[in-house]
Amino acid sequence: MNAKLYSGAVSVRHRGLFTLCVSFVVVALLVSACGSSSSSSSSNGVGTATTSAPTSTTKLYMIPKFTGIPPFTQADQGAQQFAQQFGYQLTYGGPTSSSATQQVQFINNAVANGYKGIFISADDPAAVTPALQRAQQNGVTVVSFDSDVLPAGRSAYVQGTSAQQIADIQLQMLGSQINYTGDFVILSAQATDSNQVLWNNLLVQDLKTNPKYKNMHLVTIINPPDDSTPTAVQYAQNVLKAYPTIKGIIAPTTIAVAAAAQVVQQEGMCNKYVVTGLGDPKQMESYVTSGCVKQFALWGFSREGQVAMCAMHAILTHQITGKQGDTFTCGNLGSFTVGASGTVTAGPPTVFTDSNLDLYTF
Amino acid sequence: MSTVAHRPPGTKPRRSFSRGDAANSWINVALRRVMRWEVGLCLLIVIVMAGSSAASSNFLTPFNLETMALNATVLGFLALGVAPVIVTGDIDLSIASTLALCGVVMAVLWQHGMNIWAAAGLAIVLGGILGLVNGFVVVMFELPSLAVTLGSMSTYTGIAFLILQGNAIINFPTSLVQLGSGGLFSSDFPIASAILLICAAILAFVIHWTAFGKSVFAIGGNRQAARFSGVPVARTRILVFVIAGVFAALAAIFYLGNFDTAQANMAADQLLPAITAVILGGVSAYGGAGTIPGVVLALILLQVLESGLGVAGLSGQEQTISVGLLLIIAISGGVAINAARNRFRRSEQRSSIASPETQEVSQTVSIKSEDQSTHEQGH
Amino acid sequence: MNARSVTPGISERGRFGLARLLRIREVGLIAIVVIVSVVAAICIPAFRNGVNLREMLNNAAVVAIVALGESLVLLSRQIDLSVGAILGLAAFITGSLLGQLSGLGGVGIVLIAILLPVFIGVVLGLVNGLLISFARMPAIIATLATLSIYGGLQVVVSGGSQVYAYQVPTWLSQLYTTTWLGIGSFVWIGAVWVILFSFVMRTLRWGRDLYAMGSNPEAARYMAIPTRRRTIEAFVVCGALAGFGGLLYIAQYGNVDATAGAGFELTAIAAAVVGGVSLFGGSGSPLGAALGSVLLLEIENVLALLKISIFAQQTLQGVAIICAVALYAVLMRRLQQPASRNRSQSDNDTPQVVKTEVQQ
Repeated sequence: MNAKLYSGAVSVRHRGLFTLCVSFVVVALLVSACGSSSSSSSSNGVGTATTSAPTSTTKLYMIPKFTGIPPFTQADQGAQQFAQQFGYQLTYGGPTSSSATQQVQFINNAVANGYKGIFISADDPAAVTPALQRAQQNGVTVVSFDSDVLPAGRSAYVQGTSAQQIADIQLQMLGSQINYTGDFVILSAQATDSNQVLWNNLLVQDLKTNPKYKNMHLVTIINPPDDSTPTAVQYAQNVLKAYPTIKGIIAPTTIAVAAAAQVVQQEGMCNKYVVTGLGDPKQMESYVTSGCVKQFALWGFSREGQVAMCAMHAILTHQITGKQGDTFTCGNLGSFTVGASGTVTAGPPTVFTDSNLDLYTF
Repeated sequence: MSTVAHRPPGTKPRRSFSRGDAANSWINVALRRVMRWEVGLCLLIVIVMAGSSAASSNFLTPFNLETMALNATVLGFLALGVAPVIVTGDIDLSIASTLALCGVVMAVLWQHGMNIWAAAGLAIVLGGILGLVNGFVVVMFELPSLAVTLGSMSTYTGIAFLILQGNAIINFPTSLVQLGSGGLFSSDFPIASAILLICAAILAFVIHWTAFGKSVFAIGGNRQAARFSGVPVARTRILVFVIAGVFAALAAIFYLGNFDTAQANMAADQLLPAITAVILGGVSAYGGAGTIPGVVLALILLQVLESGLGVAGLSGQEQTISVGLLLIIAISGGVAINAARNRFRRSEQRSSIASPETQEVSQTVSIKSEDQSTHEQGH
Repeated sequence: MNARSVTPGISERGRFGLARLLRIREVGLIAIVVIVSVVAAICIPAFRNGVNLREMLNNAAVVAIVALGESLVLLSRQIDLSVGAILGLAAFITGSLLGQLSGLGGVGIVLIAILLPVFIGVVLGLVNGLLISFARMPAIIATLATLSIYGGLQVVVSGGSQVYAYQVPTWLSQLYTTTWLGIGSFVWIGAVWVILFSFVMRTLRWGRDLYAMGSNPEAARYMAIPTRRRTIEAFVVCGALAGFGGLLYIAQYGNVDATAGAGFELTAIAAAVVGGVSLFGGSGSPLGAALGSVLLLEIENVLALLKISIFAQQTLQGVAIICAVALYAVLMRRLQQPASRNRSQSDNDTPQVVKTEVQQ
């Protein structure tokens, strides 16, 4: 009917070229992959299981949950300070949105590129652990921060402040404002956020066991389906409508507490509902200066990064291995002791009120 | 227009590897149609790999190749599964949610004492059922697949959360982990990649060499004409959704093996990359064109590109932007080249003298461009 | 092909059928919304609460404005997956600029606040339109690519920081709770856009061109409709509205970071689809998109007030979308059936048959 159906030699030539190309690609991959089946350590420069002492060009990699939000930027800045002091080169990079698959890619890239140490705040604690274990087998030291991974995947975990302190301080802040009497709601994050689950459980424990809070009652824990601001605001609005008799909201994420504060302030219900939780001072500034939010707490992400870098340095220089009881120093921050299951606490939480909002130059 | 070339005296007849009507057979037409696309992909893969190796000596290492292959497995199954759906002119946005739900069910069943492989088998069946639901609603009610799968995406994720809440199930049996992240016969080549390639080969055979596969292309090309030609349109359209569901379940199995954890929102971020891989693989967004090998090549290209960019030191956001730019360049470049060839072919057709050279050139026109310009529908 | 068959929603029964069909199209949706509202108001006291209604309608207004823009694109048989990223990028840039200009006051600032995000949306939408019109990329691919690019740009532009609530000018942050005649300001703003675009789509040549392109692209071209230009314009308007949505985002949330707007495109598309905008192009209306937004948010509100578990909420919302689309399609098909006995059952077939013959 027309020329296009006329096959002829053309298809042969291009079929051959096509096959050639595909074969080349497949063969190249197979050869490289099966090439050195003796051991995983070969000419790529990555060592075996023993770590070598860091040289002045030791490269470290920091992988946040995702880039582009202040807490992780601050952690990076803190770590950079001490990196320069110790003579390391710190690279910061991660996915642009929460993704375990992409974090694994970053982990693998870091290992392949000869990075000696990885800091990570995990999008999905268990999912990235196999990749971290592979990294450790290739001689890379892993220190987790903010959001831990499974213990098998890292040498140490640096948390901004201890989970118990987080639970305590939030209850305390709320209680002191509602006269230790009344119902309240926890506006949390995604149900799969392991940190949140831990803190909320400890808070519930506290509530049950501490007689000071015996007249306070937790109505429910809200887990929005994602950690975005619009969703948090929507669920904060829903909370106030579904549970109008509560006295306050505890929001253990910076997104949620700002969202709850936004809603309460917009609706002019600051006198009716107490909002508190873990907040970023800059995000909360407008709500505190207007008097809507009296107190909230946080820890220094900068400091968290600093301590993480010190811990990494201590491990890389064989001062500690990350087991319980190890101690290391961190410049002017003092000395730190490794707690149970390799956890290091960077410091106590700070309670922010309108008088100390600019305490930390975040 | 005659299909027999008038050979000028003194020239040798061209040999043809296709015999008579075989030249017009579906497979040959299909091969010719997209062969240029695959060649382009291969070239791009070679270029990116060369560039990355030049940028860093750590790129072409067994470790890097192995981890690249592993990390692309889940995406690979998702993309392969949804490719036939897109070829028929539909789309399935629920594949990541299907993965999550199948994975959750499999994990929960195992946790309650079932053998992991029995649970895996049930997960595959569940994937097929979920796909069947999609296909049934889309085809029987004649609804736009984008809308329906948008709804089923939320539904399946919601059910996954209802089952597992916020918990995670970890520490799966070694046999599963070995399948998901182990090497083939104690080499570095991942078992998962081997199985992925085998499944791709099987799918390619089904799509390109069986009557069912021809139906798939026919429906995507012109649904009405296909129906008039006796192609079982409804059944085929539903079946491709089932295939997508089954492959999503397979992806779930390998997810559990590779990441050793099950959570209700797992792999939620892999939906758009899967569709990107399918489109980059030459499958027309309007349906009716594309190859499975093309999708495999696109998967390799995407993975190699991301790894290469990462190894070269680009940040996450720079990588995201690069992938977007690649998609634009590849697709619009392909369209531009086809348009140029079309114009060239038309100007050639006007000359009645058919010398071997010009006939050859006129035959190099890709058919895909014509089909693309005749398709204007959205999803 | 006469002009009548490209007028939106016309049935072949003639003018009387036209009037009936046009009215029915939205009336049905309005009826559903009213029924749900009435039932909810009776059964759930918290629903009747003034604050609840205002918040819900305000939230619906934001979705409606973006869904409105999206519906223009959908009507012309395209799709725009990048509206969420456009909204976020516009919100961030405008927010940071307003934060830095906090000293200045008056009309100038208000003008900047309105025009800047719209301008950003126009530029980003223009890129989409050019990619689809001139580079001939399928809309779904082009906007998938720009979604990645704009999302990456959001992170680049934010530089790891964000816009803080205290940087937002007071008049803007108070906008969300401002009510005029008892109705939230967002609703008024949304209503203005809906009325404007309803008029444009029904009456102006521009709107009818989009419907024509969506119903039958080949025929539209033969009718000398400048399809390329209209496509670009549709995406520009869609981007502009998404940018405007960014302004409302700042007003509503205060804090704007690099992830703003993520996932919003699916909400907008769902709202448009629930509102009867056909994904095959050629039918639906801006009013429908707005009503779809209201319906979606009403359902979400009701589920939340019933204290249904959040996981169940997500499931039910998905089911609701499917049901709404199915209901709408079945209704429309039943209404059109007598007149369309000769028309094929499935969509977009006839143009193809014509085209392939002509091309070859």
